[in-house]
Amino acid sequence: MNRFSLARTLRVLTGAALFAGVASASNAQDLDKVTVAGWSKPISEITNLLAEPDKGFFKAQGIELVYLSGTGGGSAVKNVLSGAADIAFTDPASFFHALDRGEKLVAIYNIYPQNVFNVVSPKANNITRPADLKGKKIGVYSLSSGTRQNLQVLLHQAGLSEADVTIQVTGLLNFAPVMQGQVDATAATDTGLYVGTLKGLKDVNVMDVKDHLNVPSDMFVVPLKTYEMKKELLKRFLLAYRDSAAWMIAEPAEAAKVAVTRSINGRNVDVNLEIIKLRNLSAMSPTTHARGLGHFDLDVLQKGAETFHELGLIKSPIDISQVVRPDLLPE
Amino acid sequence: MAFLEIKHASFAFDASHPVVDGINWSIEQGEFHCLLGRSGCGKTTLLKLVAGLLEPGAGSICLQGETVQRPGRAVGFVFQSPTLLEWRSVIDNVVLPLSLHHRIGPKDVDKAQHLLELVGLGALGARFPRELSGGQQSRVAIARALISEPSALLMDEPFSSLDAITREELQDDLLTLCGHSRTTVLFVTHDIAEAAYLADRIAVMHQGKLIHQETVAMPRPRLPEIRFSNEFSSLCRDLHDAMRTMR
Amino acid sequence: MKGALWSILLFIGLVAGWELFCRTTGVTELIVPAPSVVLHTLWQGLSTGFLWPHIGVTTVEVLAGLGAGCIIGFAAGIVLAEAPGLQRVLYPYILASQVIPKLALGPLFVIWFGPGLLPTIVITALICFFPLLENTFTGLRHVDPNKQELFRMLGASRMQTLLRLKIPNSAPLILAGVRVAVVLAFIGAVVGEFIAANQGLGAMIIGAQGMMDTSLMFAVFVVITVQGTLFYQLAVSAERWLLRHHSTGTTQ
Repeated sequence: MNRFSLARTLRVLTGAALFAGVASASNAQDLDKVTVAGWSKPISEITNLLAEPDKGFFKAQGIELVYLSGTGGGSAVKNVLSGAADIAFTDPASFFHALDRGEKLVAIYNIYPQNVFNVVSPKANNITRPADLKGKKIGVYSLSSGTRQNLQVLLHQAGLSEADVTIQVTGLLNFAPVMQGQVDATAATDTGLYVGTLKGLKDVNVMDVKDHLNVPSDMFVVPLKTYEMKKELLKRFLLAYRDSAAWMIAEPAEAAKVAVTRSINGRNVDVNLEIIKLRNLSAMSPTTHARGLGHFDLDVLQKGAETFHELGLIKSPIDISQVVRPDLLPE
Repeated sequence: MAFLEIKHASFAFDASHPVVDGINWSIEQGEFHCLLGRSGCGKTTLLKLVAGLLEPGAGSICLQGETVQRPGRAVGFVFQSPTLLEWRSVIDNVVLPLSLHHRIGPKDVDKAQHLLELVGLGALGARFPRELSGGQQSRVAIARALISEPSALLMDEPFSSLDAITREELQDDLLTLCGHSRTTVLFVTHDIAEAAYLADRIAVMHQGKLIHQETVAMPRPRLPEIRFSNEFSSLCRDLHDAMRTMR
Repeated sequence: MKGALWSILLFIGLVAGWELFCRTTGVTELIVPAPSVVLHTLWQGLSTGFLWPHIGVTTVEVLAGLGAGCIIGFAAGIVLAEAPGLQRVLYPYILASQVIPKLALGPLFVIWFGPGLLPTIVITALICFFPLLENTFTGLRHVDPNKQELFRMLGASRMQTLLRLKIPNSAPLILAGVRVAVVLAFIGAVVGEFIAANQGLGAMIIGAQGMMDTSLMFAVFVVITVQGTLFYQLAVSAERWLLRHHSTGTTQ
C-alpha cells in the first residue's frame, strides 16, 4: 500500500469514528446515567435489573441504567469508592469491612432481607447442627466470598471458629467436591443448592444460616457524599428498583423468559424460573410486607455487626443507626 | 590531475594496525584498473575509501578534482554479494538508486530495461531475486550500479562466488559494457587470471601497501582465447611470483 | 495433505475415545461431559442465537485489542530501534508492564476505563503489544550490514533506510510477531472478560461455572478453539502472501 491510499484510509476512518461518537452522544441526553456495581456478572438472579431494555422501569424515572460486573461484594464496593460506579449492590460483610477501613458509606435499600446462605452435606455425614461441623472439611466459593463469611457466622452461633474446622476453596462449581467426597460439607447459597440438585446432588442435609441469624444477603450502598448530594436521583432510582423487583415477584414466568436473552447464564427457562422464585422469596420479609420492599430490620443488622465484631472480622463496633439511611425508600 | 587520484591514503581501525598504509595511485579516465591481493591485504578497505564509505585517517582521495568525503552519485559500487532487495522485482532493484532521489518515471524504467538487456536479462525484469541464479543476480547488481550513469565504477570481488564458466561470461559482459560507455573502473579481486584478463593496469597490495604493479599491454577488445596465450601466462606468472614473495 | 489427513484421523480417534469413556464409566456431566452432549449444547447455543452476541463481543475485543496492540507495539519497536538511548531508559518499564499479570490489573482498568468493552480491549492490547515490540525491535536491529552499506552508498536518508530497507527486511519477523499476537489476543480477551465484562465468551464461562454447566463451558471452549484457529490460519495466509518474494525457506 503506498503512502497516499494509507493517508486517505486514515482520514475516512477518523471521520467515521467522529460521526459515530457524536451520534451516540446525542442519544441519551435527557436521562441521568446511574451505574450499579454488582457482585457478579449479569446472572439470572438479577433479571429485574437486566430486563431494563425490555421493561424500562428506570427509564420511566428518567434514569439510564448501566450495570458494572463484579467479582464479589468487595469489588462492588471498590468500584463505587473509586467512582467507576454510583451505587453498590453488595453484601453486609463487604459493607462492614469498608466501614471498618474508615470509608464513609451508607446503606439505603435492603435488597434481600432474607439470608440465602447455607451449609450442605450428604446425609451420610450426619451433620444436622452447626456444632456437628467441628473438625470437618468445609468447601467455600472463595476466601473472600459471602459463603465463607456466612459460614463463620454459623460457626460463631455454635461457639465454634474457623480454627475448629478446615476451610477448602472449591471455586464456583462447589458441589463437585462434596459429591465426590473431597469435602464433608460445602457452604453455598439457595440458588447454588438448587442448581446442584439439578446436576445430581441428592440426599443432603441443609443448614440455613437464616435459621440462626438472619443477616440480609444484599443491600444498596452508596458513599455518604452521594447520599447527601443526590437524594432526588437516589429516590427515583430506588423507586424504579422497587418497581422492577415487584414486577419480578408478580411475573416470574415472564422474567424467566427475559433472562434467556438478557442474562449470561439463563439458557434454560425452567431453571431461570426456579432461581427467580428463590430470589423473590429472599426479597420479602414480614417487614417488607408491612412497610414495602427495601425496608430494613435494624436490630437484625445490628446483631450481624456485633457478630462480626466478636468474630474479629472488624476491629471497631458499628452503630447501624449511623450507617443506614432509610429515608430514601419509596413509600 | 588524474581522473582518480589516491594520495598517501591511510586508514586504521585501531592505531596499531593500519589496514591501508600510505597508498599512492592514480587512474586515468576510461581505464580499467585491478587491485589484486590476498585476503586481508586491505584492498576492500581501499575501495571503500575511494567510494567515500570510509574516511581516510591520513591522505586524500580525489575524484575529478574533488576530494571524496561521502558516497556520491558519480560513483557506482558493486558489492561482493549482489545484495538485491528480495521483496522487490528485478527491475525495481535496478531502478533503486534513482528511486531514492526522485519519483520514477517511464524514462527511468526504460533505462533500467535497456541495462537489463545489456546484461542479458531483458526478459527477467518482472521476476524476483529469489528466482534468479547467483550469476543472474550479479548481473542485476551491475545493472543497478550503472543506472545512474556513474563516471566511476567500483567493484569488490563481484564474481568471486560464481563458478568458473559463469565468471568468464560475466567478465566478458562487463568489458563490453564498460567499453561502450568508457566508464573508469577500479576492480578488486584475489583471482590472478581475472585481474590479468580484465585490467589495463594491475596494482598488487600486501598488508596495506602497494608492492608491485603491472601495465597490461594486451590488445582490446580482450577475446576469450587470450586466456591461453603465452603473453597471458607469463603475466600471470609474474603476478603469481609477486604475490608468493609476500609472507 | 497427508499430514492434514493424519490430524483429522487423530481428532476423530480422540473424540471417539472420549465418548466411549463417558458412556462406559458413567461419569457425570458435571465432571466430564461427553462430546455428544457438548455438541448438542453448542448446536443449541448457535441455533437459538444465544451464543452469537457473545461471540460478537469477544471478536470485537480481539480485533480492537489486536489492532491497537500491534500498531503501538510496531511503532514502539521502531522508536526504540532507532534511538538506542531511549531504549536503555524505557526498557525496564516496558518489561515491568509485561511481567505484571494482566488479570491483576483488570479491576484497576475497570476503575479507570469504566464498564463496557474498553478494559478488556486494553488488556488484550497490552498482551499483543509485547511480541510486536520485541520482534520489530529485533528485526530492525539485525539488518544485513551489506544492505545497509548499499543504502549508504546510494545516499539514502535515514527515513528512507528505515521505510524502504529496514522495515521490509524485517517483515518476516514482524509478521511472526503478529501471528503470536493473534493467539494471545484470544487469551487476553477471554481472560479479560472474566473480570470486567458483562458479555462475551469469557463472561459466558464464568456464568456457566456458576450454574455448574460444564457442557456449556466445553461448548464455549470449542467456539474459542475454532475461532482462534481460524484467525491464526488467516494470519498465516496473509503472512505467506505478503512474504511471497522473501527468500525464506518454504513454509509449506
